[in-house]
Amino acid sequence: MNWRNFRFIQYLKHIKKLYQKHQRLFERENDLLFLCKAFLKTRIVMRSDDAAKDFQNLCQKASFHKQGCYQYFYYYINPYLSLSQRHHVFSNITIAYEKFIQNSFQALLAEGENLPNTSFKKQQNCVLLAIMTQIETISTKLHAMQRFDLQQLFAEMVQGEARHLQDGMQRILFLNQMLWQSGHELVGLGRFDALLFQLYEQDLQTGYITEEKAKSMLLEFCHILHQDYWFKSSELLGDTGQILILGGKDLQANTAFTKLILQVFEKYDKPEPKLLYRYTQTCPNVIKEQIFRVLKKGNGSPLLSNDDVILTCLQQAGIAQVDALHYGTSACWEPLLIGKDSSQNNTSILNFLVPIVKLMNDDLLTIEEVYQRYFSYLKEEILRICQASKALVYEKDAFLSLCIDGCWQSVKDVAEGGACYHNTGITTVAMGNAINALFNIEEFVYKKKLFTLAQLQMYLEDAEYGEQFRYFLQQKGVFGDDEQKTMISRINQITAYAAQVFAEEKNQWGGHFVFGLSSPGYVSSAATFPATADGRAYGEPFMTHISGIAGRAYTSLLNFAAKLHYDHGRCNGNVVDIMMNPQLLNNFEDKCRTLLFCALDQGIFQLQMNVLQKDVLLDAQQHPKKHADLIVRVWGFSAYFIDLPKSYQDIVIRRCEEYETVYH
Amino acid sequence: MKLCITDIQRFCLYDGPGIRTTIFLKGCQLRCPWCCNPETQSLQEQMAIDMDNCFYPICPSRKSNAVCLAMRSIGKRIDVQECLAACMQDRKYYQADGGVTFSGGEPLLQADVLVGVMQALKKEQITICVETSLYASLKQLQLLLPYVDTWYVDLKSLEPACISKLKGNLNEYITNLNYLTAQQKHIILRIPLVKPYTFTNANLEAIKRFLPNYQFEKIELFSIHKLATKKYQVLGMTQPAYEGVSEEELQTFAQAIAQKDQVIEVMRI
Repeated sequence: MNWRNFRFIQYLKHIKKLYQKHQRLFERENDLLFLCKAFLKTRIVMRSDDAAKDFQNLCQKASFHKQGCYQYFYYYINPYLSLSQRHHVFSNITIAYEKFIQNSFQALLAEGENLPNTSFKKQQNCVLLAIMTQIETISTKLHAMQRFDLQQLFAEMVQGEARHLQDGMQRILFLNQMLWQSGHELVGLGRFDALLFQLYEQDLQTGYITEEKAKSMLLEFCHILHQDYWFKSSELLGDTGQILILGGKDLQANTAFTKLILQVFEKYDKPEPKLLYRYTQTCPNVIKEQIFRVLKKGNGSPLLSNDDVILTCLQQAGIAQVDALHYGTSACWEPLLIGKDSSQNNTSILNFLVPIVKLMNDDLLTIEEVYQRYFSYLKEEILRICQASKALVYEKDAFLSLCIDGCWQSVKDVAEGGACYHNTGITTVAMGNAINALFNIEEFVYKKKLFTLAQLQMYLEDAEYGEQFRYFLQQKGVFGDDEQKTMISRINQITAYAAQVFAEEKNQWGGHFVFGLSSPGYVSSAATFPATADGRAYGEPFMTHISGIAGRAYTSLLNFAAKLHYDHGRCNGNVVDIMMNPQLLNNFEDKCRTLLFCALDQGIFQLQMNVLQKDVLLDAQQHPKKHADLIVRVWGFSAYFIDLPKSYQDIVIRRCEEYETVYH
Repeated sequence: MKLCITDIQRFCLYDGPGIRTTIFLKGCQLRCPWCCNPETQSLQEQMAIDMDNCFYPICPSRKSNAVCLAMRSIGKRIDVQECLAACMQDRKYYQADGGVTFSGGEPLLQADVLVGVMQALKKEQITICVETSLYASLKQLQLLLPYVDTWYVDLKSLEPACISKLKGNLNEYITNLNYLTAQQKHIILRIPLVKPYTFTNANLEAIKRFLPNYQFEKIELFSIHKLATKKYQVLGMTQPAYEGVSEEELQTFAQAIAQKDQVIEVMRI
């Protein structure tokens, strides 16, 4: 008997999850009051073997709420309503929104009739009817409220393609709401300007809309997505995956709609939704200036994604050019082929320091033996991770199968590998620490022969001198230094080897394993990890993505990142993470802008930037109410500083201080 | 022939237009008590001892032939090609206006080697700035003059007694400054104000009388802060006593030297 089959267990589980999420909010309502509300309001729809039926049941219970009526849109998620969970639910996904913008549900229903007569066809039919019933319910209620404008938007979803910008945006919101409601997490918003720019331009030309009205609609759209961020957040508050993707090589990056969105974000002051901008060398200066102004605002957004590098890497990983052109991101930085991809890009974490910790007790005579042993332990670690990842079981998902291309063609549910692409993404931590540790081992154990490997480990943990010794080792850090050609070559050898081992494995759907040098796990994975030869203390967080040690010039780090290899399966997010002081940005705006875009032109993969001042952060820790609106970029998302756990706040403060020491 | 340098700093924003690489050259005639780069005073490589890096229980110097971790060399000699390679690392970030700044120490003292680097940089169309005290020979100045786009010239003191204390020759400075300004080069004059050396009534008056004879692209005034305590420590040097000036004092002096068409900026360093 499986305990997950008991409704009461699922009910308690959901309340616990809600309570934990709600508890993280800085200024939350009384915990006891919230718990009472959760106990009274929570409703669980139990999953059965019929995923479509479950979805239909959920839709029936997802009641209309007048709280969801806004000036331009309707959007409502009931956090107390949930599907039970027996297995993993697909997350980190972005659906094919264009399918629902360019088609009516009637048309999709008719198209579904052409599917072969299988249970899959019945399921898809059932899901479509459930959605249409849901639309009808909302429509009726809106009519009763005399919100005929909104009612019209819903009526048109059933009957025709989207004809106006507002229609398109409402469809995105509606599907987005259904995805959250049906238990998916980290739900992306797709290539927003590519999806809607034609509708916007058409509306402008016909005089149906003004630029000001479009701005006002965009603002409302953003505010709606920001609400309930506590409910949408995964591990940390703000980790929602709500990313609007802009730009891209195929879009020429300069649509009027792109500019309009950036204009709105120059003034927008909430962490949700986030922006990702797909940059190419041909990006016009006017857009670069807008992007820079948005970055300067300090919301940690947009993440800059380099099409000139990423598109090549994706194609080398076996992705068709036409599909690669539509890449977006899973939730943070992991490239995902929007609407065609069910890849789960954050299933396990590979820790590049694990092989080093293992080999510290081995009797190794030369640095070559150290590297040989490193590779051997790395392989063991990769195979372990692949096995664990393959063992993950996912819930069947009839609704998601409707929303992701490939399932109808293959007549398979997304959980059976129905999507066009279904790879597994591994995120990695501690490459920087591992390289610095290997450098120190080579320098002090084998070149200068000052101590043995075992002695080195002992000194690292020495109660009296350990701290001073670790500080000494830290200062030798080479990761992020573009002059360390040998070590850059070592990194490329290690990642090439890892790619080769991963390439020999296939996931549960026959897809590939991919990895990159970014991960959300640089704090959690380090919490109980021993002191390491890079000078890191026990439990101290690993280096953040691709970042340098204190004192390293930005240009050195960026040149270094441009020399790393990202092809052949190494493309699962490789973000350079930097911090800048607001005064520096204000005093040297042109120079800083040159730095960022020049770095992309040099060939870095992705770039994210925090604009922060240490004094402000420290004050925010002391007086959170005073700094309730202070936003920072955490691992791959923006969040309110005061919402973060202290361990994450401390890292941001420490890194900010390091950068200020050099550049202030 | 090699250059003796202490450091190469990249992405320097305060040392001229655009994104710049700054090369710190070793050797300076002057011994300014407020010097924030004492490691650049001597023309020779030096050894420094940083006791923060001394770990007694594992001290390698206790072993025969081992290197002491606490000791490190200050300064290194690099040839023209090595210097050029370092300057070219950030070539793409320089774009049209960024480039290389030579600072120190006193860059003019190594003009005979530096000229080779500058010629190579000019071939690459990279702009060159020099930060100088002008306490060097006229010949050295003339050697570099054709290649430098912007000069950052210090005006420390015009009091002969003060300059003698700093081990300089005021006539040499004035000759060089006259020569340089006659060439109509881009010159930014930097005046460090520090008590009790340059911020004295006599010196301030002398500067006030001196400035109207020249036209500079800009005059920058700034106070000196004690930033280099650790550097003095590891070099085994005693840091002389001095005191910075207040924002108000800076502003008052800025007004006192104000002239028509002369840009004056109070810097906050």
